Amino acid sequence: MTTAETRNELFPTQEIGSIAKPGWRVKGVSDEAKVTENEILEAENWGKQLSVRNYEQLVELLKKRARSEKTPSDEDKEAIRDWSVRYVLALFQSAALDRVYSGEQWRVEMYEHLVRNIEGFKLLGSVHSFDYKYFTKGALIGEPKYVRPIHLDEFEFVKDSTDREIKIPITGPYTIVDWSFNEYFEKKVREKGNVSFENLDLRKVNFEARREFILALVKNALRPEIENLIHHGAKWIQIDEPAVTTRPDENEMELFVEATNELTHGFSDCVFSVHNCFSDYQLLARYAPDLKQVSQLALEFANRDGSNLGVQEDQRIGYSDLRAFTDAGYTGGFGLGVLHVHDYSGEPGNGAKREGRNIIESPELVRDRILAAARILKDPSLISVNPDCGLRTRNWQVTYQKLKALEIGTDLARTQVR
Amino acid sequence: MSTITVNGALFGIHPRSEQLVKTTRDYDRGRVDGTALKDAFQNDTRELVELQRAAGFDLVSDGQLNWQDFLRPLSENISGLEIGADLTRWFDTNTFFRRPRVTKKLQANTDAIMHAVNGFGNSDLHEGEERTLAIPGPFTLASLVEDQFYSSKEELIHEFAKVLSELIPVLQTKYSHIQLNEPSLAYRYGESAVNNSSAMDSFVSAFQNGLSKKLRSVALHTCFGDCSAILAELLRLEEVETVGIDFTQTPVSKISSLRFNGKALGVGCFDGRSSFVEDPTWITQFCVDLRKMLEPSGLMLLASCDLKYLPRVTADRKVQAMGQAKVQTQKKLSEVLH
Repeated sequence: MTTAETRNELFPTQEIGSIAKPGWRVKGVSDEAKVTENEILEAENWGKQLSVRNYEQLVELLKKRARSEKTPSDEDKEAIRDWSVRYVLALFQSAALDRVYSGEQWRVEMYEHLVRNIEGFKLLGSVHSFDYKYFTKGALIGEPKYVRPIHLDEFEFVKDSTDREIKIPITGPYTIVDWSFNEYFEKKVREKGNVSFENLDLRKVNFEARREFILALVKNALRPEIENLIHHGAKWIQIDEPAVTTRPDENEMELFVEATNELTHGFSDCVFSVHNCFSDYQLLARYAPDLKQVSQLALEFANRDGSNLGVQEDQRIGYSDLRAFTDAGYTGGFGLGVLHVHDYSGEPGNGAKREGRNIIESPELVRDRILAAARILKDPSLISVNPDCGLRTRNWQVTYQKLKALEIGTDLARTQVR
Repeated sequence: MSTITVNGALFGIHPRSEQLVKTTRDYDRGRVDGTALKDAFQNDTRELVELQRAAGFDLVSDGQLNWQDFLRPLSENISGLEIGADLTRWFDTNTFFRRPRVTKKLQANTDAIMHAVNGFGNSDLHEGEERTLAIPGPFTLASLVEDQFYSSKEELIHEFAKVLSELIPVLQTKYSHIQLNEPSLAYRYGESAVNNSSAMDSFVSAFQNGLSKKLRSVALHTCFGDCSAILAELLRLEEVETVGIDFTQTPVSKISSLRFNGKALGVGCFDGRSSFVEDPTWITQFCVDLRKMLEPSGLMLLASCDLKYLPRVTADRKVQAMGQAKVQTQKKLSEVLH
């Protein structure tokens, strides 16, 4: 399996996915909202702080937008989106991340971005998630078909904008299927089946339809996309599968494994990793060794860990699930989540501080988490270091602080291991 | 020749309309005030009630549109429960709830719960209509909370049953039909009930000793799982008029030997997690076959679970299909039975 070059051989650092879109990015491309003076100032300050090349051009563009009564032109919108990727890359560079991407600044959202670009899907409307939060859910209403490159422009832009190793996150087939309705194959399977009333088992019918959906999605849409990206130079693709283990059944886990293997087989010039978070790792661990082409599992651990310093296993309880993977026979690498990404409401221990609804980990806590994981795995070379998930729910100031802690803490761990 | 009543009802939380979704988002972001939010909920409820009337339902639900999750209006108003900020996945769905912690003896503030659940406002019923409301049952409540106070799950089931015993008579002043939703009984083949027989015993005895005296016109639904392992036990609960089965999870062959003996069957055949809208004619034949096999006293067409997992437009289409299937099934059964 190919491994792309990284700046740090020991404990390379990486981002996982999305970063919050700055206010100037959101409003700058909106036909309704106006960029505020504060947002322009924010663009200016971050531009200076992160040494974004020619950031003054963005500031001028935003000022022009603020003065104008007209809706932004397509050209202006595109320029603002481009700037937001440059800013994210500068943010990552400031934290010396080894593997980077765009912070998904060009994507609406991880699910919608994909299904809007694959034929056969129709977005149906909003579904309640919790409180006053919703997600848009689509249905497959026809055969899934690859009609255009989905991530290529984004990849090419990042490639031209950074000299760091690039890891492209792509929403995985299991998650797409789990988050979609399956009208097309459910109808097909029901029409095909001639099951008598006495033998009717809708669970079986729906599972068969689900399997047909996922395999068709992989074959007709996702493999062509991956092939295209690799053809254009992609060396590392991260398959985002947050939905895995949602349905804790054996056949569902086998379906995830089958789909992942189908998706990745035969692509020898590219590293594949799988990202999963807030899931049942005891269950995932049992199936991890069957993921034939997957070199790394990037997982959330900080969320389930304490925040006092220490490297003993009872002090680092969040990382004990690593043992389940090695016990099950998984020999690949880990993207080790060392930064909490959601709201934090408790009182942190001596390895972190709380700022509003955020926990800010100290470099020493990051160090201890890495060292504890290295002890469990008995092989430091298996570890890359990352936040638990994309940091999009944190503002840039918090994200910056967290990524700096990651950078310094990882350096401390490197020093100790060497 | 006997006849059989066929009804249809919403069970649990219905999805909010896109307009209401927008208003709640605007409220969340401080763009509209509480009055606008309340008006939006009331408009949505009114439309949903009309939809049920058009579908010919005698039991009318307010859709429980203001419920942030299926535990919240209760868990926020039961002393002894604390709700944290952490989100927990609701069974195997892509939705979440705030998991309550039990920190001291449970005591319901029944007036506050009544106020919190009242989505109907002051609207009147039409002749022949009854209001229906779904609430979590004691087994599910005890399974989903984090218990830091009581000594066992069995004790907790009894305590929640006591709370519900106080609450249900108050609710029944407005909602004559109460539905107890017990997904935890059936989830993952009913493993938490089957593998923990003393918890199941507690559930049954809680029903017999506490809840039974308070109940009238109660339906018990077992969504999100195959209920075949515990169905016989549920059918022995004298107090329950209707037992609902999630047929998207429960194979017909696994319950074919059971008889409903005077109980109505809740036919959870409209898949609350699929946007594929069922054909009323197919549903009608399914109901006719089920009646013949299980010999229930009546049929109540239901969704397999709440319809909140669907966008509103799709859920409403399912309600319309349910109404058509209700009429067709009643007609077909009249023909068959005469």
